[in-house]
Amino acid sequence: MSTNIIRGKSFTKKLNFNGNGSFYFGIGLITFLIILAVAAPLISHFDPTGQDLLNTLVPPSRQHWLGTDQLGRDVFTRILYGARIDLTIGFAAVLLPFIIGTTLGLISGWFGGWFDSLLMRIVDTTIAFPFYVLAIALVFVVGPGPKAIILAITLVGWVAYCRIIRAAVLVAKELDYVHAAKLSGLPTARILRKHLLPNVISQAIIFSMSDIVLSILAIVSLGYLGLGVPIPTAEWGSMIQEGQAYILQQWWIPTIPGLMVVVTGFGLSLIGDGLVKRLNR
Amino acid sequence: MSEIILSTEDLSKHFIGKSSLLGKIRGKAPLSIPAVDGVTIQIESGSTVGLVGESGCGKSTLGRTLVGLYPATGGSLTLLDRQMGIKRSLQERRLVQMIFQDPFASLNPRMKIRDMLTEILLFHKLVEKERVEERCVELMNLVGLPVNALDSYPRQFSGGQRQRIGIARALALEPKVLIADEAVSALDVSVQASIVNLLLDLKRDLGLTMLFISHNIAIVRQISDRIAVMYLGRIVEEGPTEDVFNNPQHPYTKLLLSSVPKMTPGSKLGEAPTGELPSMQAKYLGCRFMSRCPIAIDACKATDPQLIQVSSAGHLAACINL
Amino acid sequence: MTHPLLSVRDLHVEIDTPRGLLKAIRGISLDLNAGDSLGIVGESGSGKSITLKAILGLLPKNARVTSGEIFLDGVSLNSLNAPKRAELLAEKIGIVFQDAIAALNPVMTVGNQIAEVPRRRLGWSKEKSHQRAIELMELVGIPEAEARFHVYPHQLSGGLRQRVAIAIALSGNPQLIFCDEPTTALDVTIQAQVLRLLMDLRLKEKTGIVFVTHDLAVVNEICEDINVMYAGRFVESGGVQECFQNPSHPYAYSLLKSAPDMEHQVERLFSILGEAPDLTKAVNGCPFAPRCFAVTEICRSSEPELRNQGGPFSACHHSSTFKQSLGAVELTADGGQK
Repeated sequence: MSTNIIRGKSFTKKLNFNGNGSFYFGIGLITFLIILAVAAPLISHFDPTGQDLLNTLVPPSRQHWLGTDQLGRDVFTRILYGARIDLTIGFAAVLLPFIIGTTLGLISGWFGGWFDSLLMRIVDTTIAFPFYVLAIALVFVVGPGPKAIILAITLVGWVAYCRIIRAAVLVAKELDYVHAAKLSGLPTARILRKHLLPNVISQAIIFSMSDIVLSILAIVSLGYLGLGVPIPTAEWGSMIQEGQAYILQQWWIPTIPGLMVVVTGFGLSLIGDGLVKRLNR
Repeated sequence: MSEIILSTEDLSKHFIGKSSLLGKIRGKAPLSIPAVDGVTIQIESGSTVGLVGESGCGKSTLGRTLVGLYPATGGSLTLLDRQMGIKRSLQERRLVQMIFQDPFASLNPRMKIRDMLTEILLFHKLVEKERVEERCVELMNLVGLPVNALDSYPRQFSGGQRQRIGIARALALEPKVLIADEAVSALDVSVQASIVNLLLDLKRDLGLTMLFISHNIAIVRQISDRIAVMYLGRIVEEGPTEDVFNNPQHPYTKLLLSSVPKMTPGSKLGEAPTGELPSMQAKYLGCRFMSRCPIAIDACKATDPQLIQVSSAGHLAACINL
Repeated sequence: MTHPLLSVRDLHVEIDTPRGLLKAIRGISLDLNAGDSLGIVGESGSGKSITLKAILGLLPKNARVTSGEIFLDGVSLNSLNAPKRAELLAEKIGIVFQDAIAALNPVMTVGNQIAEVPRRRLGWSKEKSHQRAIELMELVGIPEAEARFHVYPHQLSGGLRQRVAIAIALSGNPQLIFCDEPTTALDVTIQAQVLRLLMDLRLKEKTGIVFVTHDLAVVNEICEDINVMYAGRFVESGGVQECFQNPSHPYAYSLLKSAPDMEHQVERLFSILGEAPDLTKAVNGCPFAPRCFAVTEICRSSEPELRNQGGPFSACHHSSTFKQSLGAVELTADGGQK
C-alpha cells in the first residue's frame, strides 16, 4: 500500500522537474516562439506581404501550411513575421516602464518626504487615466507604429513597477540587514544598489512576466482597432481584424493568430508562476 | 576605575506621529510617544552592561539611539569624549556596532559572506586590498566558523551560525562598543549558550565594551558586569550585577526578579505580581511605576524620582521610598 | 477498572517536506491522569508541538500519524469516526496556544467566544452560558469581567488575551489542558501571572496540564513530571525534581547545564556541540551520539529505548555512568564546543 503511494509520488515528481516543471515548460514554449520569429526567413520562403491574388483563401495544404488569406498571403508566414513584431514590441514596451518604475519606486520608498507624496499623486492620476484613450491620442500625435505603442505603454506602465518596488522598499528598509549596512557607514547609493535592489526586485520581475502578456494584448488590441502597426505589415492583431470576416468559412485565418496570443500568454504566465516559486524561497 | 567610553545625559527619543490635516488646522499637537525619556548612563571601557526590562520599556529604542539608527530628540550622547551630533562621521559610526535579534533578517540574503565583509573592509580602508582575504579568514576564526563559510549565502546557515556571521560583520569594523539587541533571544537554549560564551571570549580577547540588551534576565546575569533596569523609558535601577541581583532596591526590580522562573529544584514561583505595563503616552508627573507599586505613598504622585546612590558604591535606584 | 485519562502508545508522525519525508515523531508513549502536570521540553524541531497536534488531530495537511494508538478516557481514538473523535477530544481537552491574538476571533466579543462552547456544544441557555462565561473570566483573573464581556480581543493587553484564551480552553469543562508555549510571547511579570493561574487551576479544578515549552525554568516552576524530547523521541522521563537533580540522559544533562540560571552566575555556560540530526534521513544508533560527550561504539550502532534504569527513565546506553566522562570534557572549557 505504502509503496504504491511512494511510487505515485515519484512519478509526479518526475513530471514536475523537481517541483518546477511548469517553469521549464514555459521557458521552452517562449524560447520556441522566439526561435520561430528569429528564423522566420529560414522556415518560410514566402514574403509575408507578398500578395497572390490567384490563390486567395486557400485552405491549409502542403504548400500553404495554414492556407492563405483574402489577398493570397501565406498565413503561416505572416504568423511567423507577426511574432517578430509582437514579441519585440511586447518585450520593449515592458523594459522602459520596468527601469523607470523601479528607479522611482526605490527612491520614493527610501527617502519618502515630499518627493514620495508628489510621486504618489502622479501615480494615482496615471492610474485614473484610461489607457486606450491615451494610446489613441498618442497615435494621432506621434503617428501609428511601434513608437506610439511603446510610448503609450511606458507612460502608463511604469506606475505598477513603481508601486510594487516602493511597497517592497518600505518593508525592506526596516529590516536589520539594511540597518546593519547603514551602521557600517556605506553610502546611500550603495545601500540602495547592493542591499535593497537585489532583495526587492524579484516582485517586479515576476510582475513583468504578466505585464508582457498585457502589453502584447494591448498591441494586438490596437492592431485590431486599426491603430497599431500599419498594414500591410504582418501583426497578429491586424490579422485577426482582417480575418474576422471569414471566420465562418476560413476559420483558421483569424483563429490561428488569436491562438498564438493565447499560447504566448500561457508560456509567460508559466514563467511568472515559476519565478514566484524560485525567487520567493 | 577605567575611563568612560560611552555616556548619555538625559537622553530621550520621542517618536512623533504624523498629525492629520484636520489636526494641523485645529492646531493639535501630533501624537508623541516618549520611548526613551531622560536616560543618564555611563559605560566604562571594557565592561559589559546588561539592560533589562519588559517589552515597550524602551530598551531597544535606547540601543538604536546609541548606535545612531535613531536621532535623539533630547539630551546628549558622548562617545570617547566627543559629543555626537545628529550626523555622525564615518569614524564615529564605525566605533559603535550592533548585533541584531533576528538572525534571519539581519543578513542580506543575496550577498555571500565574503562579499559582505569585503565591502565594509574596503570601504573603511581597514585593510590593504591584498590583505582582505587574510582578514576575512581571521574573522571567521574569531567567531568560530569554518573558512569555507565565506563562499556561502546566509540561507545556508542555521540560526546560531548566522548570529556568528552577524558578530563577524560587526567585528570587521573594529568597533569599540558593541550593542547586542536581544542577540540570543531567537536561539535555542544550547545554541544560546555557545553564543554567550563567544561574546564572553571576544570581550576578554578584544577588550570590547558591550551593552547587552535582553528581556532574558537569567542570560543577562551570566554576561554582565553591571545591570540597568528600565521601566517606561527610564532607568530605575543600575548597579553591579551581583549587588542588583542579591540586593535589589527598586520595587520594580524586586517584582521583575521574583517573576523570573528559577532552575532550583523545588522552587515555587513567588506571589503573583499584579497589574500591567501602563501606556507610554500618558504624561507622568510623579513616579511611573506608581500604579503597580506595592509601597507607593502619596508623595510618589508628585515627585519624579531621580537615580540616587543606595547601599553600596555605584548602586543607583530611582525611588523616593528608599 | 482504572485507566489513564490520556494514554499514547508508540505514536509515529511523518511530515512531507520539500527535502523528503521527515520522521517528526519516532515512537512516543505517555500516560496522563487527571490532575497531573507534565512538561514536555525540547528545542525547536524536536517534535514537541507536533506531539500535541497529533494527539488533537490538528496536524497540518502534509503530516500524518503513521502508526500508534491514542486512548482518551479508555476509548481508542482509532476506533472512532472523525466527527465522534473530534467531539470526544473537544469534551476532554482544552487548548491554549502561544499566539493568543491568532487564536481569538477578532470580530467576536471575548464574552461570546467564552460562552460559545457552553451554548453550542453543551446546549445551555443563553443566560446560563453568559453567566458561565463571566464566572470563567473571574476564575482566570480578568478584572471587571462583567464589563469586559463585551470587548473585542484587540482591546485587551497580551496578558489578558492569554487569560481569555485560557478561559475558552476551560469553557467546556475539560479534564486536560494542552498548553503550547503559552507564555513565550509574554513579558516575564505577565508570564508569572499566567503560570500562577495555571497552577491554581490545577489545584482548584483538578485539571491536568500538558505544558510544551523550551524553557526549563518554567517547567521547574509549574510541572511535577517532565519528558525531555530529542529528535522525535522522549529521551528522559520522570519527576521534575529528580530529573533536575539527577538527570539520567546526557542530552537532558547538557540542556540543564546550558540553561542560564538567574540565581547563579557561572564562568561559562555549558554548550552542546553540533546540531540536531536531520530527521529526513535515517537515524542510525542514538540520535544524540554525534553531539554526546560520553559516546561509545554501541551508541553509534543501536538506538537505546526509553526504560527504567534506576532514577528517571532514560534512553541512554550509559545512563548511570555517563557523568564519569564529564571530568575530561569540562576541562576543555567550552563544554566540548568547537
